[in-house]
Amino acid sequence: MSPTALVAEDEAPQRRELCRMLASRWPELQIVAECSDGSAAIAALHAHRPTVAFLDIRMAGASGLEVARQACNMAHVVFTTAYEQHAIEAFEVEAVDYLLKPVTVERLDRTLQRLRTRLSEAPKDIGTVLEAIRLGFRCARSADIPWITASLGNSIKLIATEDVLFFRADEGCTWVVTRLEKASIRTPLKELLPALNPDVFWQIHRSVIVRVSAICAVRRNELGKLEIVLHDSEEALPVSQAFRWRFRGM
Amino acid sequence: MHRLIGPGGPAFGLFLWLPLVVACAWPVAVLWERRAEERHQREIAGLQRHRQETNLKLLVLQAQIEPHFLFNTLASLRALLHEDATRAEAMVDALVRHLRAVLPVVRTDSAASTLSDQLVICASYLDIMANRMEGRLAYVIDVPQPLQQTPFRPLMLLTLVENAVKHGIEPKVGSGRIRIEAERIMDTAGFAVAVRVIDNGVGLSRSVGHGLGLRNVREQLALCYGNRAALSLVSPPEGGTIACLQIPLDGFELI
Repeated sequence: MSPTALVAEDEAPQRRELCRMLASRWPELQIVAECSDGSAAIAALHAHRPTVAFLDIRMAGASGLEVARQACNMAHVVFTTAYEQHAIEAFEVEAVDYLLKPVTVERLDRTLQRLRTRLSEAPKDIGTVLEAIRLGFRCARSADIPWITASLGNSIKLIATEDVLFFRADEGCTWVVTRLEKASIRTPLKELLPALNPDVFWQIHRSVIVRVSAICAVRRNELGKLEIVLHDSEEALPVSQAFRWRFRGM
Repeated sequence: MHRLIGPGGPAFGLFLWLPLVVACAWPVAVLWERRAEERHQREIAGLQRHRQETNLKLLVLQAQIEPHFLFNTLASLRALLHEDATRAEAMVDALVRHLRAVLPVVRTDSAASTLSDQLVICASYLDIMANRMEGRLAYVIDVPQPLQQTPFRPLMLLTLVENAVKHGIEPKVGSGRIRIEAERIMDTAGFAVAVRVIDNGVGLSRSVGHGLGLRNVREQLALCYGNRAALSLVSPPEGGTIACLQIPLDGFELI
């Protein structure tokens, strides 16, 4: 039985080029599916059960990494990527096959040679490398958040974190308040806090995170409770017992 | 005690002292003036340094060519070489135009850049992407002629267009459209130009995000126009994203 292949690549010229190169360098390999997005690739994977899957990492629908998770025990996976420093390092460590775009004939030959010798074996389990890449992407992302996409009426608006005066949780949603507007996000304060710079934003109440530089004064209200007045907002924010230490000596 | 003043009495004393006072005060005054002059020079030098630093900062903010974009474009080109020499040629031309506009080492002075120049850069980028995505991307540029001559800082608009492709159209299954339009508006501070990049892609997702390119645009706006310029991104309920750059038209007369 001749080996079969799936090629998933969202840019048509590149997809045709890889198929053309495969046909010339490995004529016995039968290309059973050419897919232009990740969801189509997952469907084709289950429908055709190819021996090899060539997967572009960045695709609409589902990324190549997500498709690979489905392919794990079914097909030998070869990733294609133009530049994905983090993923390439992980591939090198785990000896996972990948092709750098533009693909050269020499490099393709080396990969195909390796594939031919592996055809009789079960596909390599690449779960660890996929997990490592996923965690790596997440780490790279959680450093800090310059932008927040929040709901404003029926629209969604990008708000610069630099413009935020305070975040206030209220009945399952979090209000993001700037000098000019008040929008909402679904991210709870608990998840938001680690992503904010602790020198810039302080939590002062279970339901409030405030920009330190926006604080104008701390005062006691008519009930004797500590609260904060801001430079650019009418809203007074409560300071709870647990966070009172921040204002000791003020 | 009076004898000490001198034989000529108070008048003689005055004659003696006046030149003395002048003789002493003259160098002091000259020194004073020189000091002031030096201080002035230092201030000018300080301002020049600040200006240079700002320019340098702007240059760093503008330097951007993504390896991902370059390698993918070359990969498509490799395919077109076998399939369609005419398209390959058009792609090389567009890529060269793009690199000339974007690479910091070959870029010409940015001070004179106009909206029209920036639209040309955006068009070459969109031509490359439309060629690569083959039918999945179409675009329209609709900016009235008089507005095209507006002075416009380089590469800010390109960042918005790149974002529309990368985060709007590319993640969308199927095809997408991008429209660039501009209009003159009046706000509280005077006349301004509003340039919008509108796409019908997947829209902003309700989460927290990165957008390094957008952060650069914001910093550039702050450095050049203080708080008189604005950048906004909104996904309306019907989908897609509208990115809008608003820049003051200080004394710039429309012909």
